[in-house]
Amino acid sequence: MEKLLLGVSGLFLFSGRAHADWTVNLTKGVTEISREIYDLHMVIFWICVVIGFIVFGVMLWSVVYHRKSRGAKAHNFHESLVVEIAWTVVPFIILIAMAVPATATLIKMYDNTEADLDIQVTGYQWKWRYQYLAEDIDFFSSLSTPREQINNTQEKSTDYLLEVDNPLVIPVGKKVRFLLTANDVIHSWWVPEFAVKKDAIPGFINEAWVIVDKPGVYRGQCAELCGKDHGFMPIVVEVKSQEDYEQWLAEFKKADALKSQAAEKSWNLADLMATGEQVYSKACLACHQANGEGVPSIFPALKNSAVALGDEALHIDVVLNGVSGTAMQAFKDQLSAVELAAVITYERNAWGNKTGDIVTPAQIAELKK
Amino acid sequence: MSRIQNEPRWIDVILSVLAAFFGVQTKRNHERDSMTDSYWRYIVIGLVLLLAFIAVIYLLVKLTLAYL
Ligand code: HEC
Ligand SMILES: [Cu+2]
Repeated sequence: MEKLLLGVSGLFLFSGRAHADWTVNLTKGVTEISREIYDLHMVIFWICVVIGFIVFGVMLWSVVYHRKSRGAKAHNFHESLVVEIAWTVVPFIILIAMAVPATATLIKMYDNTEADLDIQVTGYQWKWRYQYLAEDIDFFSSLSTPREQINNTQEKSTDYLLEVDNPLVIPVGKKVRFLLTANDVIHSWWVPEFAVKKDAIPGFINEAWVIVDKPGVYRGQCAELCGKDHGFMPIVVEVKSQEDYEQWLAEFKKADALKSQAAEKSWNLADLMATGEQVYSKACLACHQANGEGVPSIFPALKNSAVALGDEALHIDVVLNGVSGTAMQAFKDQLSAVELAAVITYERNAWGNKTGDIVTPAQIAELKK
Repeated sequence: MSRIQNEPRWIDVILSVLAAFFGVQTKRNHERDSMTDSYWRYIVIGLVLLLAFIAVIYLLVKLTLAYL
């Protein structure tokens, strides 16, 4: 028993040291709503604690005080109207008392009107897509943790599995409304510090909103089991001051323009292969695997595949438009012309697929129009 | 105990249905109710009070949304 106690307290000590900011409680968050939810949670928690003490206190006291050795005799009565009414009315009153502030917060949470900025959030297997509805901004955000860390051949970083290539960027102090939906299966967009956890469901649009009052980087995860890489589609939100946000907007648009210019320059096989490998590990590896052999009967092999070795046009079509009704998504909008050309070229020349074919960015850019 | 041949009084039925909604009934009333032969008054009052309950909830929600 002592050993067990030592072990348990050791565990607590250890976890306390290993995660300095590790707490068991709900986060206070960085929005007015998240703080209200935190306060509600604490109030209700303490109500439960008090009820627990009273109920178990009375029970324990009765058990001890009326114990048999003291000569206690049981009363043999059946129902008692007074007691039954009391234990129905008292919880009723407590519940109503808790519902009043909770409802006030809920009503605020569901007030989706008068947003300064609308962003459509779409869940994909296994990444997020962010579309700024008023701006010409549309990008995918996928896990950027290196495979080596996942496979334990490299030390894990502090933001392990909570880092992405393109974070969502929003301005501080502005009401940002999220319109959530999904492309394939149900996902859930969850950022604890915003107190937002909302299902993203194919064919439906759910709404949520935030006004974040502190610039910073906030991280979250998909919170609805959505398949193989459910744990590998984190959310990163960068909250910036209005000036920084506008600068980001401008830079994003400039980079977008550069991307389409890149499609016009000519590419050789080596460059395409190098880019293709990067794109492949970011966008395709989760399913088709690093060795291109896929997962039998779930994700087909690309090594020696009839599609990857066969007709170029068919191969391009599969990658750009996907195969409807399967996990093979349309990558047309997810990747740039250069990335698409590179990854297709890569597939046609990697793992012993030596076709020597080059699919050019210009070719893809034409198809993307 | 002898069966009561005549119908139960409406007021008793209303009180019994309300007690059922609340979840607590006295043993005396429960026995009185099970002695009657006719159940249709309980069904009618049950449905009417159910509709009234729904209306009250509906109004409460409307009032809450309007004033909170
Ligand atoms: C979410 C899992 C997933 C991802 C990510 C994925 N694929 Fe696929 N892919 C599939 C599935 C499933 C099929 C089989 C579709 C079918 O049933 O025809 C497939 C089929 C293909 C085929 C046809 C292979 C054949 O022999 O039929 C090609 C080519 C292909 N994918 C390329 C890619 C490329 C390139 C990427 C990355 C840009 C990619 N896939 C990313 C799941 C995926
Ligand atoms: Cu998901």
